[in-house]
Amino acid sequence: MTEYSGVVEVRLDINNEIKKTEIRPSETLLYVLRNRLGLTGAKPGCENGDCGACTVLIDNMPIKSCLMLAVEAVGRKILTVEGLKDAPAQKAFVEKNAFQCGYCTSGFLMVCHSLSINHPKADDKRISEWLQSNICRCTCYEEITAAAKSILSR
Amino acid sequence: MIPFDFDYYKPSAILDAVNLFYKLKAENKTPVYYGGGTEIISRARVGNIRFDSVIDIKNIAECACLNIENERINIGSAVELNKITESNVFPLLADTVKRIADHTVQCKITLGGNILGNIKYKEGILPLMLADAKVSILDQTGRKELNINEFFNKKPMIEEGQLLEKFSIDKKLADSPWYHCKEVKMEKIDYPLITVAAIRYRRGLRLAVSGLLEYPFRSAEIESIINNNQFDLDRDFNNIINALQGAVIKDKSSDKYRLFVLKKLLKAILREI
Repeated sequence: MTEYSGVVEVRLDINNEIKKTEIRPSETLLYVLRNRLGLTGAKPGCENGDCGACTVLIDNMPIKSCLMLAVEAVGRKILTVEGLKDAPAQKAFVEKNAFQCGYCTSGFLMVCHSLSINHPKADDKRISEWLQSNICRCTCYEEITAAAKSILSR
Repeated sequence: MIPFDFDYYKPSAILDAVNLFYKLKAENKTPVYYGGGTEIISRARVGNIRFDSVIDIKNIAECACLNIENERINIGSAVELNKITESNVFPLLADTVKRIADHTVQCKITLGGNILGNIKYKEGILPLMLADAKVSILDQTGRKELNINEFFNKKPMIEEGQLLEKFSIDKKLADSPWYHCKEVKMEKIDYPLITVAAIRYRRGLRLAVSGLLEYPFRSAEIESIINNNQFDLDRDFNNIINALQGAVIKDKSSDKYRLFVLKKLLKAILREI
């Protein structure tokens, strides 16, 4: 049985690198990424699982990192926006002008990247279902949807 | 940020999880079983709940099962909603859980968490009620198998320390013609005004509803009204209202509007299946 108590050192597989860090079991993955590892791409928004600004991929599936304990991520593959490195979703967002203030962008990018991995031929309904997980207060939804569609081989 | 510390345990044997819970209780600690954790984290962050030990059950094979054996579908309590949708082993359940929260959160919420959580709608229970699911629960005395109506009567009938292991569903019932609809006030991602789930099995219609009363329910009395050969929705709708075992919820809409929506959904069910 795995046990963590107090401050513990863990190894996290983030963006294909093993990062050692000290954490408390009560710390969310969002907190650890930003405050212990300096990966500030995942944004704190509502911190209640509503806005999606903190979305990262865990084993290629989108997860709101404010709703995950960092200890849950031990032994799993974490991908943040810093690990995308010129992924098609990033180029598509630039080409389609799919952002204004940019605060929600990293979360949307992670959802689009995951969609392209898991459902490269996603139909409009699935694209809509996945994108509804995130909120853009600048209301760039049309452009974000266009960017998502442009990276899917439909 | 959760404003207090706790210890975290991740057992891989189900008995280890149960025994650990009772051991921690005996040490005057406050353990919680932890599946997806979405509600636990949200409520802990704002100080609604406090605990000092978390027992994560996702690594336990029985709680993580999603398979078909001997014509029965087994779904562990720690299976995430998106996996149920993608597997489509129980199409009505797949369609129902697909409308709980949003897709990304569905990758974290578990079926057990949806049913045992604090939110009253618990839509994941509706298909299980209709399919006469069996429910496995473990405690210090061993494993118990309950009928769904023993497990859930207005609320989950589970005591502190008991661990919800899995649901088991007869494939014949899961493959029956079905209907599901969730009506919300405005946004697609929201709690329901009303969610209905229905199946037609051996010529009888089964109906379960969430959002109408303070708890999800399936009513034998309402089903007997609907399944009467002489049933006429316009004429008999008041009989359905009179058979409700509680007051209709009034938040987000009036009770009259909720009943209007219910009638509209019943029409759709009768037309579709």
